[in-house]
Amino acid sequence: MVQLGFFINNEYCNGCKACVIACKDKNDLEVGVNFRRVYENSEGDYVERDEAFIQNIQTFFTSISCNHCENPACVKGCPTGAMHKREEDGVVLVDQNKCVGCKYCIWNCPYGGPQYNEKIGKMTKCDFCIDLIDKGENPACVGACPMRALDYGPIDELRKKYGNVRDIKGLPSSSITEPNIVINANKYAK
Amino acid sequence: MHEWPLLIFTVLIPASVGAILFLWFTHGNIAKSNGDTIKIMKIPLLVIAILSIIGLIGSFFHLGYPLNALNAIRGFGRSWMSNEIVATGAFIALACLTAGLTIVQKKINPILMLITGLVGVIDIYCMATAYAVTRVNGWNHLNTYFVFYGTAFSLGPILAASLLAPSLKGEAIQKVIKWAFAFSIIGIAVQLIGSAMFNAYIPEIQTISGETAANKMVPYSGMIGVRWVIEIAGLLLLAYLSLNTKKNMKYAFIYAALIFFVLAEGVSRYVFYVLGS
Amino acid sequence: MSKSLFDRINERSLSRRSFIKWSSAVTAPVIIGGIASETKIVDKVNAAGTVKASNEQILSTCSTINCGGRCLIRAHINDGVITRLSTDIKEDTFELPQLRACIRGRGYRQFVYNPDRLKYPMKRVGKRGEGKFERISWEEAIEYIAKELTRLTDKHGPASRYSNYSTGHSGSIIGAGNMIQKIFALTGGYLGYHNSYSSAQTSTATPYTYGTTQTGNTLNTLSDSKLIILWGHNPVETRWGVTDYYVKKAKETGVKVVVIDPRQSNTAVGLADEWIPILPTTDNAMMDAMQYVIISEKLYDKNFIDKYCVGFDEENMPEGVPQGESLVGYILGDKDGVAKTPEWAEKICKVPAETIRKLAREYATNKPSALLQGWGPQRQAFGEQFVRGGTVLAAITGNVGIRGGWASGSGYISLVKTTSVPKGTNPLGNLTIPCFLWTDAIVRGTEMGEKDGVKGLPEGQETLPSNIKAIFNLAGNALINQHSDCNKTAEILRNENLAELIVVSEIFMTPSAKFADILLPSNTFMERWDIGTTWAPSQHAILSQKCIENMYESKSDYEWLTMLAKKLGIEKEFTEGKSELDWVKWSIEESRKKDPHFPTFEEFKKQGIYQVSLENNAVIAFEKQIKDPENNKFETPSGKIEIFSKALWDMNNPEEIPAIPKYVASWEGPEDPLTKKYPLQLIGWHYKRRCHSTFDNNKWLEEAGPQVMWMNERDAKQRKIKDGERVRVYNDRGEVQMPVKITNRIIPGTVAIPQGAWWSPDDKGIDQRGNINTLTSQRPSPLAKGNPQHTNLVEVRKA
Repeated sequence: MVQLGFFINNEYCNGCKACVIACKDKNDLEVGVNFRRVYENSEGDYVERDEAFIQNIQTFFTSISCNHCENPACVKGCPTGAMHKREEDGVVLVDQNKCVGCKYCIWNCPYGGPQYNEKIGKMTKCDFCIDLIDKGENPACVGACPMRALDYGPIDELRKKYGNVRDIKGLPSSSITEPNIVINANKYAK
Repeated sequence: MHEWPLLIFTVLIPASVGAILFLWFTHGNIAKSNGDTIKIMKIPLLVIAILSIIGLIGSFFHLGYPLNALNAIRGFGRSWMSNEIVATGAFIALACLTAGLTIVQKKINPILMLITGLVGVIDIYCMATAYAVTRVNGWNHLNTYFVFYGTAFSLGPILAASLLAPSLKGEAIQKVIKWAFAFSIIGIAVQLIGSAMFNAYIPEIQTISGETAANKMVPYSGMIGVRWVIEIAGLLLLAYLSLNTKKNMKYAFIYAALIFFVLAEGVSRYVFYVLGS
Repeated sequence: MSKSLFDRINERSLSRRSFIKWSSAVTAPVIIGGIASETKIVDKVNAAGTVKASNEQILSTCSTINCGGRCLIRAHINDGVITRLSTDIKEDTFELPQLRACIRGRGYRQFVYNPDRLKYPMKRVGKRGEGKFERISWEEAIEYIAKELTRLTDKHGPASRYSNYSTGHSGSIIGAGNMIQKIFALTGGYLGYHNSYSSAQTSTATPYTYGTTQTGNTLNTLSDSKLIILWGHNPVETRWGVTDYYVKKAKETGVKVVVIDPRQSNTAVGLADEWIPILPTTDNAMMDAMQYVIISEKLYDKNFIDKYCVGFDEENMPEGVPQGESLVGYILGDKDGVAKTPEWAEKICKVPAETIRKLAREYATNKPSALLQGWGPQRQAFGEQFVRGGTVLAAITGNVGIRGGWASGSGYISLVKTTSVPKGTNPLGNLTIPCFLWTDAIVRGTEMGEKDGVKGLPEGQETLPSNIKAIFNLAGNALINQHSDCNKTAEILRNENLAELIVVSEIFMTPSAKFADILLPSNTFMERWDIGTTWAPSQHAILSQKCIENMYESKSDYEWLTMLAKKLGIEKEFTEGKSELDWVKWSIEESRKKDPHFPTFEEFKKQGIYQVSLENNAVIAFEKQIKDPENNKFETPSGKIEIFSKALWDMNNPEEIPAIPKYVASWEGPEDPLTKKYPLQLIGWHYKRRCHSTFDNNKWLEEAGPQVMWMNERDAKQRKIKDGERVRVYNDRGEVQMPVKITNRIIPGTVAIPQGAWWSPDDKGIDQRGNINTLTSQRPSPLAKGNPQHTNLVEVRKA
């Protein structure tokens, strides 16, 4: 059994959201439903010296979908067992035959992964584009990034290739759910 | 805020639990002073059972796909939400049983009433835990338990008292109101303690949105104030009623107090769900 | 014209089957909803290996909107409906990187299948601009246009006919604007235009330094730089070919990247090691000060200057110019007594003196370094100075013509040459106006001459022969939305005695469409053939394949212009017997004559894209001139890089058009006394979620990039404005009401509204959507007569 994971090159994410829209197109998502999301984190201020502005504005973006966690809080909290972690690749999926649409997973996930679909009254989420992976293609988001700042693969390989960082500024502690992500942290996110 | 179903659910169930426990607590007294306990207790027990069922039905409107509702108990043991549903089911079943037996057997079963109440207490624990274990900033705190138990203690007794009132007279009703007043003080005190603790605590941010309870509450500070004003008004009304030495009890005041407590607890819960929205 | 009307007509006029097909696509999400979606989702869950066999067809295409990205799009088509898009999936290498689609490209399905598409031709019934129309047939529309065109031509002459500059679905080799000009040319001629709304100042000013606009290098050379300065350049959002990719690659090899911009743009966030915020319109103060540092600390490349430049100091000035006019003379303040020190500049541009000093030193001493200028800062009142200032910095540091350097200026370079459909010769010669002055030409065309930038006037004629009377605004939104000063423009257009015929072809009911007399429903690139190229530096040609049939009654501009040509009796001359597809094939063959590597039609169809590899292939502007100056002169009057331009000197307008680049305090800049009334500078930017104004109605993109105005925390605090609130933004030209984003990613004293939102005036004329052009001015820049879109003063209050 392998565990799939994402690599996020936080250093080069410029907040363009091509990943978000590629995902929406792939999954036909309505406004308000985003399997992948990009968060802006900006702080700092200006000091006026004589007439010039000295500033320390520090901004970075973080692209996150579902992290297909080792201890997925959504799975643990799910009353129906619809939210489950697939044996063969560790992908966290919703079994639509079981889901009751209680949205409890939304309150449990630190990352905003589960996304409620009003039309069908059930929970939906990133399924790692397992259908595309089956066809030998990249997940929609990974193949979309103009900066090539996203990658995916077995988490062990990703860790070998990119390291072990998964706690950066702005993200909840990885100890909560053990997310299967590796991040190259932006200089302002360290 | 769009969690009206859950609001109804989490107000009615604790209120029913509190009310059953209050009935159990007062039934001895009532039995002593008034002859026909069954006649007096029958309607309150029935109404409480119905209210708890309404609460449960209300919660169904929260579900996007209620046809799958039975699946929601599959996670019993693992998911606190399942635990909550199972415990609620048990409580309602017992409440119905208590009411049913009272009507059918024409006999009050205090032990069953107590068991129902205690299962209800467990249910409230499950209910609060279901919220307390989430990542929602402001829910993952002891205060959540105080909020839910607070409802049981403040709203439950006045609910029961209001249901008892029509069939009670004179001193009996005075006594019931006094007890309701006492419990409400406890209920409100519990909530105040929770609230005070909560205010002195900065909850760890566990979500990527980074939203804090404090920030979310900013637009609602006025609403929170109004809630306490209503709650205290209800309490004062109860105080007035319990200290009233005149013989004729003003029923309208009892119901007014009930409405005040319903409103106050409703607003309290509204604000609670704002955190999760 | 209500939606339900559309619906009813649809149901009547379309075959049931195709209607169902479309509507299932139109009500995207395509399959989501009800049981179908559930099965789809459930299917996926159980997808372990059981991929359903489908008859999916994948066609590659690209948009031919005026978009800098022009990415490769692979349309996945099922039963004639595009169900998904993917992008370039070939091997991704440094020499041949994938041409990945950005947010806009990924959202095309919401564009093509938007239920708000115009569905049939319409004729105005209300007052012009009211947006009231009635449905007519194509035949009626063509009949009306032909009749009116003939009448106006008879009455006012062919110079009264004008095809407006457009940046919407304007096509590539088969541009709608070119094709109507062809019809004009075949029927007597027309008034043409020069310049563009994008690059007027840089395209005009760059040749005064270098003799050409072709000043860009291939992007692979950026990795050989030691320092990259992106000055007002935001390729991440504007989409500038694959510039962002190659800057990233350079950065990975350790090249330092500095971004100078009033906003901490997405480019600054994603690519900059250092962001330098600067007040809009004051770039040249900083450039002057950098030159001061380079000159006073003798960091300039003396050999290079002596060999290749004129006008640096008093020793190498052209003849006939008095003392004190050289660059050194100006910078050191010989004549005006003001040395252009960093301390002097700091007060103007708000960049700390030590930051200026440090950057000047880094740029001058780390050779080669690349200074890439964006086109934003040249769209200001004196944008020509910004362009010339950048080129002079590159020249005096010897960063021109060398690998890893960059000549600065407009930066055009094209590795792939496509061939456009010829538009014939205008019988009126090269009679053109600056495209920005078309509203002037409606009102006072017959007074406009050379001083207004009119070119190609016949001998003995001082002014235009006619005002503009017939406007064809095809595939663009510059009829009002993208032109300056919407309120003023609207007033001009509403007067039916001025422009007597306005024909608009559009995909949606845009603000421009509302001003049409005849409004024609255009199809989209998914429904027509063309060939697209990326913006500079262009390395790709992409076959824009027709993927689906025309939706509703829409037609491509070429299709209906052919009908018009037929009506006018010139069909044969117009089409030359060719359909759009025939022209595409013709263009390919023409291109193959010039470039044998250009793929055949069949190859092109198969691979979708023609991309020139950068393996052992670097084009560096002016490499020849630098390596072998004896045999390769610059195309300037002096044959050298002109720091001082005698041609500009001879214009004798030193305050506005100096012969060497200078900081010119701008009207509606930070030094304008008008700041007392309107204390905030306002700029726009190309927002990632729109291509100009296209996609403003794309709901996915609105969610990803809502229309908000950026405002600094200090400015907001002073005005007690909170994040997300609606604010009034106003000046003497108009008022906008829109939500605000409070962020320190913009320098204090400046607010920014992303350009391209659809002008939506309420009954008081207050724009409710956030179109910056409600507030911009029609006053052109002095030399190029270009648009000054980033030169505005406003005040902001809570709405």
